[in-house]
Amino acid sequence: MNPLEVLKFVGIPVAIATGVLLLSYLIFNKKRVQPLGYCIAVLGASFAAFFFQEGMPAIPPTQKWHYLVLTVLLIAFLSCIYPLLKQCDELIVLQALIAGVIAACIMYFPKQDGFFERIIIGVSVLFVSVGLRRLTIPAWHMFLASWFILAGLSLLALNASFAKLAFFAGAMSAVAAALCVLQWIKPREVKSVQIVFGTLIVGCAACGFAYDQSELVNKGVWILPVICVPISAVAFLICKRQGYAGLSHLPSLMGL
Amino acid sequence: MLLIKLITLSIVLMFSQGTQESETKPFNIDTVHSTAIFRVHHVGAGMFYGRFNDVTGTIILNDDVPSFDVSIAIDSVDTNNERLDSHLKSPDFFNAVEFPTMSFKSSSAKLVGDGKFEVAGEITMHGVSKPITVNMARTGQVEGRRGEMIGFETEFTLTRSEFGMTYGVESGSLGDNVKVIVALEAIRK
Repeated sequence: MNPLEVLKFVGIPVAIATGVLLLSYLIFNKKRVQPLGYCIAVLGASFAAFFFQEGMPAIPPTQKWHYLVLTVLLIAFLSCIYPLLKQCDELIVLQALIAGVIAACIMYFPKQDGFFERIIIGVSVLFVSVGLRRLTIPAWHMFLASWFILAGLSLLALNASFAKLAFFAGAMSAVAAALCVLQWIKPREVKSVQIVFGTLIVGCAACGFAYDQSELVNKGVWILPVICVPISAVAFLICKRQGYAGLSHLPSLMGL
Repeated sequence: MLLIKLITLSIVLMFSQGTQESETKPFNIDTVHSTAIFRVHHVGAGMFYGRFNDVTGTIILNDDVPSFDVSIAIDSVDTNNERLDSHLKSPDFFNAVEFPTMSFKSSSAKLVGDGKFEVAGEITMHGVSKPITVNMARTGQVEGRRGEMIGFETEFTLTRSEFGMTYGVESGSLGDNVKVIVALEAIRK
């Protein structure tokens, strides 16, 4: 891993996400369409993060781990449509459910094609997406949690000798970090973005789990970053009432 | 008279079939005494060597011309470093989970010199199949205690990016061309 590779695989997606979001400040002023800026930024960044490593994604993919990117791109595309449809805009759980069904149908990695594994993937995407949505008060909390967790998954992938996944998760973690800072500076509406980060978190964990056949990383460790999001969301609900909302990030930090 | 002719013909046919069977009976590759070694340029400096320990398959001799069906288990990659082995098995390189073997199946072979053959066939690696022609040398053939034994050796170069294995090519951390040496020993009992 040399600095030039880091700049290319991580720097360019972050630059794309930042550029798109800054541009969206000028274009999408109405509150209802504000999430479009985030959705397009994540869509462009995730495509770039994959493209600079593997080239254009093929359909059907040449390797099963490419399903991760195809699913993320599809769900990111859907997340760009939701803000435009007034009826769908508020249906957070339905959006997460659709993302879960898509992930369960498309995103399958080696030895994960059984019915039980499909259900777990679908339900995980649903819970993580809804969990991330609970962490949007203020909205930069969601990006902060995604940043931590994807960074953790990137480190796990690196430990499992899967550099391409480490770069991809690392790039998306850096994108979440950039969006977190921008959201902190200029708060905007972020509805629908959580389904993309939810899919990314579950996808990276499931992908790393599937390909780490030598068990360089303990199998249970791949699950931690996924379950820490719903735990963070529950902690947020409990701590908010007590006035300690910030404590809800402890599970995400533990995930990292 | 006709009966005698029929019996004689049957015996002749049976005998010739038996001879043909023994000629085309395959040699089984001896995994212990067969090796596949690869060499790749590392960070533009040294030459890095690794090997695959599990080489299996068959060799068939037809009129002294061999045909090969060789399979190599990716999981058997050995670089004398466990972490490096794991990295080579990961989707960054061979993707052993999805593509557990690489194989070579010959389609034709012609004698080009004393015990030297030009063997054409198809190599499949990382889910990609490509036609290839290699020079194969017969290193020996003996009647041993374990049966009839035969040996072949070949050396060729692969461009790994042609097989979708691009990790480290652009950054120059690992060379694109991989020199491969395959030494086979096979036994027919």
